[in-house]
Amino acid sequence: MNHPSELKLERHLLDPSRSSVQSHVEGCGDCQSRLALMEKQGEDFRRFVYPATLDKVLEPHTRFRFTPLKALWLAAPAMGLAAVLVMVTRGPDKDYIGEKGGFELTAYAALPDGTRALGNGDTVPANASLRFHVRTKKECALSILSIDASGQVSKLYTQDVRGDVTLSGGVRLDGKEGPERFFAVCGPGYAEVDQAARHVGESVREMQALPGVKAPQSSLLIEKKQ
Amino acid sequence: MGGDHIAELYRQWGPAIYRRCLRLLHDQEGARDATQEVFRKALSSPEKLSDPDLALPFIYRIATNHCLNERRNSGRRGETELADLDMPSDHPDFPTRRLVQRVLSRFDAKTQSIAVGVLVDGMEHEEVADALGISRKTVSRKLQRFLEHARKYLERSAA
Repeated sequence: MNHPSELKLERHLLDPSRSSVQSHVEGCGDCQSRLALMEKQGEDFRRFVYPATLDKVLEPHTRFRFTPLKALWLAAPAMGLAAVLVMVTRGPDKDYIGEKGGFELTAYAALPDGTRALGNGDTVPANASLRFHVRTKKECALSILSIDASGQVSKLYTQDVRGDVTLSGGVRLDGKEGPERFFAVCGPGYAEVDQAARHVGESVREMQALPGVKAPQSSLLIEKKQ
Repeated sequence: MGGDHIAELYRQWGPAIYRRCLRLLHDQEGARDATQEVFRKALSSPEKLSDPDLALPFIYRIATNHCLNERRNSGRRGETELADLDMPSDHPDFPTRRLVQRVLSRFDAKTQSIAVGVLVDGMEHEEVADALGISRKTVSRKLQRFLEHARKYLERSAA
């Protein structure tokens, strides 16, 4: 059986009503699987790639563009200081696990009433944009990923960091209600972190640390609401 | 063109570019970087991005050329081998497809795009011609030459 080319499937995704391969796709499990994968990759683009790369794409065309993500970028250093002050004065809450190894993760959300640092368990709009800030005393091969209510693991960042670093780009949440936990790990490399994350499954609310990872790590739980 | 219009075009066409780059590079971070580069190149012809009938073959062409170029460069740097192009092993053309993987890097950029389009993506000659902005005759001629040279190359390798 000759399957439609990738380009024809792209046209099909773009406008199924004008698709020349509609009848084939309806009866072809392989093509339906390919389309499902393509849709997931498109969703990955919208969630992770678009927010992380938009500023660079726009750079040559606009001198300055004020967006929620840019607001987060500008606010991050001040918000980082505020978050530190809150930790110093209030002390870590019972879910906080970020102090070990001098490693901390803070997330900032662009909300209708302004940018704010998120606390563990905070509720945010399901399609909010987030930016991340990490603090590490030692040089660190950082991995950040997220796990949603279904146990799906999404890779967000892998890069070397040291000191106070606001990570470039950002993440747009997927618009689905439910919990999502972000894990930041310093050291062991993404493959090991990813493998540990796949053991978390649907226990994102309870699992505050990635099991079996012997490295400084920090996590943050958010609740997405429509 | 205003920033908002560019952002909207990027949101519209970015997924297709990202998928194409993922397929050719097999690396999420590489595909992420390539996607923004490809889109920035595509912005040199904004009128094509605004026309849905023209946009898809246009970005497909730029993405294919860019990512094959990335693969060539990373191959030269010793970072990756070309042998990881995504080819289903149960396809009837599988032996030919394996041939493509082994010898692709020895050919010029346009021939590579044609070979990948026909032998990897399973596109018809006319579709490749349309996507790459060349004649169908050119596709046939370059593909024929590619296959002849590829077979000779493999025979020499085997000898």
